[in-house]
Amino acid sequence: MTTTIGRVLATAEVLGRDLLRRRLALVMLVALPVAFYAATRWSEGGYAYTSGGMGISWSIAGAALYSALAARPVDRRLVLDGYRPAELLAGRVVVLMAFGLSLALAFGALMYGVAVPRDAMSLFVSLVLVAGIAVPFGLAIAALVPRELEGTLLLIGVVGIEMSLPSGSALEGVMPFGGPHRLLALASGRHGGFAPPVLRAVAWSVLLLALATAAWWERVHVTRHPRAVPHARHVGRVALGLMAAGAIVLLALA
Amino acid sequence: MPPALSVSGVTKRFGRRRVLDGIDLDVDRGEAVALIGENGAGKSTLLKICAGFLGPDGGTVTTSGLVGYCPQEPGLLDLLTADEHLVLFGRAQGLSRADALDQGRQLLGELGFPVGRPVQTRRLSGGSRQKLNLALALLGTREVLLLDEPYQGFDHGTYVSFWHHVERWRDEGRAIVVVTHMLAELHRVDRVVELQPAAQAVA
Repeated sequence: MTTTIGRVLATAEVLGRDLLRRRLALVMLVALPVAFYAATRWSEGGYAYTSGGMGISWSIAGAALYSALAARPVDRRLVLDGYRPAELLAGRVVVLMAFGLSLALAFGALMYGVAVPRDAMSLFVSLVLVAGIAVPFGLAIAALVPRELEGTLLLIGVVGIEMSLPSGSALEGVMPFGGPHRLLALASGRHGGFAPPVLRAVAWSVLLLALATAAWWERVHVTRHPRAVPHARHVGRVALGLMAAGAIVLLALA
Repeated sequence: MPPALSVSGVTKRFGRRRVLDGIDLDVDRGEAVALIGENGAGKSTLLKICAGFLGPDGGTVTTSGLVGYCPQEPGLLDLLTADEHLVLFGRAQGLSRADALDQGRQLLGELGFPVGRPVQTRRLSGGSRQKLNLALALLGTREVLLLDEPYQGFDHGTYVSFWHHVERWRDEGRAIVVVTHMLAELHRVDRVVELQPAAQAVA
């Protein structure tokens, strides 16, 4: 157990250092949602909240995507040397969630300071959920796509479609950031239920984390000669179970 | 005593192209084997299969103990220093930070790496990156070493001392497979195995 925690912390420390050394990228990750929000600040119908929230999702998912892609050359060697794939993933999730939540809450405070929303709780809950979805979303893309370009295009495509959808549309309900999108609309004064979008967002977060885990394991696993790796297969089964559960919840909510 | 590394009847295809066809190879403890062959003969593929990075289409591989694998292209994190790599890789085998640094710096020093400078690996020369790449494969207790042309970018002195190190690691009881094109150094290993393209190994 101590060894596992030590390995997770070692992975987290490395990613933290790597992230902090990308100073220009960090500035841009912060500037992106601010720019989105500022550009739409005076638009009607509270679109600035949606725009800022989607900018946050781009920043956090982008950080997750590129940090995972940057580590690709060493991941399999680390697993060969003794790391479990789940330990590497857990270390990254810890750091990226801390980064994502910090960014989301700071940005929420900025939006609150600029113009007090009709429903402040919906605003902050939506931003926290954005972080909870964006981290596994970026990690899942990184594990699934062959190269950076495909990952970037997928990220731009999904978030871009979400931004262009009107709040309350049928498609919004089944998109990854549909739940936070709906909550951001509530924050600007629209009417609607609070619980369904929250549950939908949590389900997407679980589903994407399971997808990221399964795809990650497939990408980094190493065949142990001559014996198999029971714990790794166990992780794969758990991931598949979580994916199935998440899909069922999403279908029920849709 | 069984061999430290045993490859039996390994086959591998990439699409329609057959790369390895029924390869057999045993390497004992305290034995250094050079793997040679022309480009595309499957040397790196065989090493990746032995490391577990690729699954064979047929055949089996067995190893005893921990495998150290040094890939042809240095697998490093560009924004980390050498010390940070040592700690990260050392932790994989349960080494403490201090032990990983002690052992890793000693290995790097033996390879002529400028130890102690907190330089990110992206700023290192190709040869220094390769030295770190090799040191990471040696860190900890490795019984089997799989080295895929690990001397690329080495200056002449380091290249010569690399082969001295191979002899020392062999004398320490490790099983070593070195992929090489440097035929002049083959007298330094115990056995040479030549891979023919999509054919059998000729010992």
